[in-house]
Amino acid sequence: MTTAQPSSQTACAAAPSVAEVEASCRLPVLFLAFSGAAWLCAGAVLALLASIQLYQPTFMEGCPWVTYGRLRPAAVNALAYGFALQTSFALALWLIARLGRVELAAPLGLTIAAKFWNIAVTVGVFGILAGDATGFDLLEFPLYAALPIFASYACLAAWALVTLHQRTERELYVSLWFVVAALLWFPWILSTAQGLLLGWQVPGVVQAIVAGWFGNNLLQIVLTSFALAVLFYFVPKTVNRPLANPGLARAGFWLLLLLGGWGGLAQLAAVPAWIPAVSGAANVLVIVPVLALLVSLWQTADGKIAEAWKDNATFRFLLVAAILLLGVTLRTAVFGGHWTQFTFFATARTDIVLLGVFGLAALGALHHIVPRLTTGDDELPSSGLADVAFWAALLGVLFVGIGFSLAGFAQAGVNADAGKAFLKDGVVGIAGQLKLVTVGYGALALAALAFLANFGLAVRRCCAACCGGAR
Amino acid sequence: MSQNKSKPAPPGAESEPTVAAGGGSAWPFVLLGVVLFGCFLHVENTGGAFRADVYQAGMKTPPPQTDEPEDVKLFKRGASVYAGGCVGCHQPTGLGSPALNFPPLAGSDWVTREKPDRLIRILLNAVEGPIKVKDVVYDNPAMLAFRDVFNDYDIAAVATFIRGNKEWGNGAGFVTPAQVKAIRDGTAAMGSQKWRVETLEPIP
Repeated sequence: MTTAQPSSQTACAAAPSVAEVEASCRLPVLFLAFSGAAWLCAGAVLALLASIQLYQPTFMEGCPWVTYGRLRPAAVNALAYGFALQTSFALALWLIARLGRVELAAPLGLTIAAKFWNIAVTVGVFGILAGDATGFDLLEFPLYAALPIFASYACLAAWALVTLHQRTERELYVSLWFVVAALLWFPWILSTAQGLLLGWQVPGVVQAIVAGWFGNNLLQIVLTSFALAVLFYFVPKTVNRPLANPGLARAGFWLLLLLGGWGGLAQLAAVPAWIPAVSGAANVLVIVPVLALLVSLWQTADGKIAEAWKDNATFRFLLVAAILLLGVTLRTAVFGGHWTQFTFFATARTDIVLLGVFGLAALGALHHIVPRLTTGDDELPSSGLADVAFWAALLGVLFVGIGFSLAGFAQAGVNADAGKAFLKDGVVGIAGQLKLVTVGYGALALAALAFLANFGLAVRRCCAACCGGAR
Repeated sequence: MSQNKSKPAPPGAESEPTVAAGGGSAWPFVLLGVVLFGCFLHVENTGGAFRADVYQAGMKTPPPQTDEPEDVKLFKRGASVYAGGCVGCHQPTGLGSPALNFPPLAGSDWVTREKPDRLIRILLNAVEGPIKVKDVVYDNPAMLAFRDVFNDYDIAAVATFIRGNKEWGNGAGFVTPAQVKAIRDGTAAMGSQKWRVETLEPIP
């Protein structure tokens, strides 16, 4: 992970200035950040419409394009590929450039690849709405969208790794471990899953195992790693202290990679019993690296948390993301077994990791990155809009997570009790919890809009200030 | 980290986060060991012994096949009953032993007639005296009465086995334990008395 070669004087002499580094980031990172936030808004609206149909089945009936079975996968995939992965590319590029003290390789090429990624996601979402979904959780994009997704990812990641190779700061900071791991992990799981499911077309039971393995790795390794990269970058920076106990971070990093990929299959049915048993054990084991990483962050920020919460918009997002990471890990470890099988409980995990752990961390980071790349300030122009974005995103994630979790518990109670009626108690009876989910998605869409408005203000101010000059 | 930078970072967004000196803790690995112990217990108890054919958490072997039809189970049980109580005289081939005065079961109308009522009676109380099987007259008092040896299920099983044994060329229908019970109860007054051809022939 680390090179023995220290940062030499010559390398420092050749290193570009922060202004030069950020200038190279401007086009691709702003494009990815803006598109990601726009997809967050679109995905949240799609998820909101889908969630209404859970308790109002006649809502938008009659048009096959907007039935639940198409809207929900379209929403989840828009959020996963349009928002989460796209935003994580923005974060990855910015972190590599800043921490490696290097200008991005081929910023224009990265922007074009990002454009293709967006086209592919759009085609995929419309493909799902048109009825071409593959039926595998988090892999619903049809093949004609999945292949361009992989191709544009290959370009983005290749240029990111070329940039990393050219870095002038040779030592890899903790955040870059996570970025590199996630950048290399994602093509492995995506190509394996797409190859086995859509190319090779493995038989029935294996499909569920492959799709479950992919979904868990996407959430537990790739997106959690990007969230942790952001946390490890901004927490020491905000409290202006060096990262305490890097050995703990290193142990957590390797253990997360070692253990994280095994989970996610604990609720599969009709598979040999050892698969859910081992997977359930991994869900518990992964508490250890998560604790180690969070303790390292906590030791760094200890004593300055209240101050940073008050002063720094980014830090608020990050603190909530860190708490949610611990919460979702414990929640899956304790309740993620057979008892909550076939309920909304697993849905809640996808949404909490996607929108809470990763989503909040990413939005927090963007509240720092976007002003750096536009106005050159450390904060977005409107602190009011930043507050709206934070509180709306926080409430949105809590409402969605709690609503789906409570609905899952209620359904588990129905499944466990033969005296309860499936339709009355398990479908109609959870309407209240699901209305909370609808409100949550509405709040998330509002948060995305508030961020986009702030983004627009920053771009306008930048243009007004620097027409004709650099920054 | 091969090189630890502990110099205080200058404030401001221009600076990058740094790493403190020292560090490293053993507690994650201790905790990992403790949790791992629980995980091994969990997998041992619910992991189905890592067998590909165990789908039920908490079981170590696949459950016995319960989806076989009842007559197949009777036939399989009947094969082992036959091997225990009948094969000595009637032979594995079901052909008996004409030289030793043991009548055949394969192709015998006494066995394969449409209704099993005569066969069940013979199995319960045995038959003695001259009996004509496949145009040969046998007279052997050695047949044992199985009324007190086998229960209804085993009698039905062995009757199913010899009536439906395709290797012997027999293709008659199976016999249920309920049929055996009805006849056992109906003939309880016979005690240990054996049937004779004359007393059996009125039975359909």
